[in-house]
Amino acid sequence: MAHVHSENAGISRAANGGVQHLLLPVFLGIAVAAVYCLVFLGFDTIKPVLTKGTYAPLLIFPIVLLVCGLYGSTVSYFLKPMEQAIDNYTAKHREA
Amino acid sequence: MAAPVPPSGLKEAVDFIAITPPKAMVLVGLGFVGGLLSGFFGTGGAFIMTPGMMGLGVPGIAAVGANITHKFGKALVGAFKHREMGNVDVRLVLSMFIALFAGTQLAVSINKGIFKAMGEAGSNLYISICYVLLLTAVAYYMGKDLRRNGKVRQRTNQTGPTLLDRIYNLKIPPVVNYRVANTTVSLWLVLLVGLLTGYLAGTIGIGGFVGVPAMIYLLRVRAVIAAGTELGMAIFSGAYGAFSYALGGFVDLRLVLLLYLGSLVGIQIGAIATKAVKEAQIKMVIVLVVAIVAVSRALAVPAYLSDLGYLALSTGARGFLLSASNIFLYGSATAGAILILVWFFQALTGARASNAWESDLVVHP
Repeated sequence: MAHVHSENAGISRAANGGVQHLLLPVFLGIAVAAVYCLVFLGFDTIKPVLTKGTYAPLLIFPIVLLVCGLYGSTVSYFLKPMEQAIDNYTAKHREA
Repeated sequence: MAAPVPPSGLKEAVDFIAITPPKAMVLVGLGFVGGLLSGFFGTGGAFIMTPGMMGLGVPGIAAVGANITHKFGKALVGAFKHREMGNVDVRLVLSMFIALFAGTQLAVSINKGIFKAMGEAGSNLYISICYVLLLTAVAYYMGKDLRRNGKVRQRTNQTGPTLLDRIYNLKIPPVVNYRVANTTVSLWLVLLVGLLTGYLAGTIGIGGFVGVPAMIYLLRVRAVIAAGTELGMAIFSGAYGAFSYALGGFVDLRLVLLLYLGSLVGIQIGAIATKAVKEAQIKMVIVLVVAIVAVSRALAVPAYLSDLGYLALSTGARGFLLSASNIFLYGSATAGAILILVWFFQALTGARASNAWESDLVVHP
């Protein structure tokens, strides 16, 4: 009985950990979606800044860096398990 | 590695195209394929993205502007990913950096001179001939090397030192040790490779096609380190190019963001795929892509000769050659991308079969 209880607690802990693990990429994903919405829906507003040029780098560089940081991290998070699996596989392969 | 400077005198505003859902999907796809190739061997996005965007109706200068701005962020993410895996030699990046810019500026001056003297057709012809000669030489040498390595493995009889061995062994001082790249080489040779890469970047827009093989064969850097280091350099050239084009008002941010949707996934898959393959497989993809791009450009040469009046060619034949050239261009990228994806998924399937894939939700009571 105690063993079952301990197993259930373990599952619950693991599930909570999984949800917590998902919070960060979900948050990053929402932030990326917000940046994309702002750019695409407000394109008419930012277009004069982009086409005039003088202040364009001040607008473009922060957005590019933000998207790369947020979206790059989100993608990296989801690809991490695959990367680790390939690492383990190639390590086993080399040992063999 | 291209960091082209927008032509002076082009200050009028460019037309930013209307983006429909099909166009958006094509842009995401272009980004994915370009990212995959860049992540795998450090270069290879620009040669399909710029013509691809132009095919969607984006003006040439806006296509180059979007591509170079996108390249800056893509290189940033790719270089960080490769650095995490220990594949970027920062010292080598910094050593090659100045020579690379000098080479780019030299190429831009020569290109401008040819454009002035011979017009657009002459400039196109010069660029295409450079493409064909250099890429054929790179593909031929790398293909020969791959075959030779295979034979050496079978029969261990050693041949004498090659020309590249002799160049590498010319240790003219100062000689520098690059720890990550695991090579000790004359700084002059590093600068020469940087200059050559920059020159080709300025001439044909894809210096990495020559820069990566030059690092592998002249500096004796492993293919995966050459790819990571190339991406490290692309951060700087991309930032410089993005800044120049943004100042000119030629960067459509929507195109850049749509390219990122595909490329930031592709570049990370490409980088991870390098872990699942052997050195020879990376070289094989470079040879394949470079050789098909060389054929693509060779097909376009008669069309440019006809534009200059050196060759009589009917409109139909000209159109056919240019279409065939484009098919080969996109075919090279698609073939490379398919190979990388196949190896990536093969490794994943192998990992699954050998239980190397451990779930995050393993229960430990």
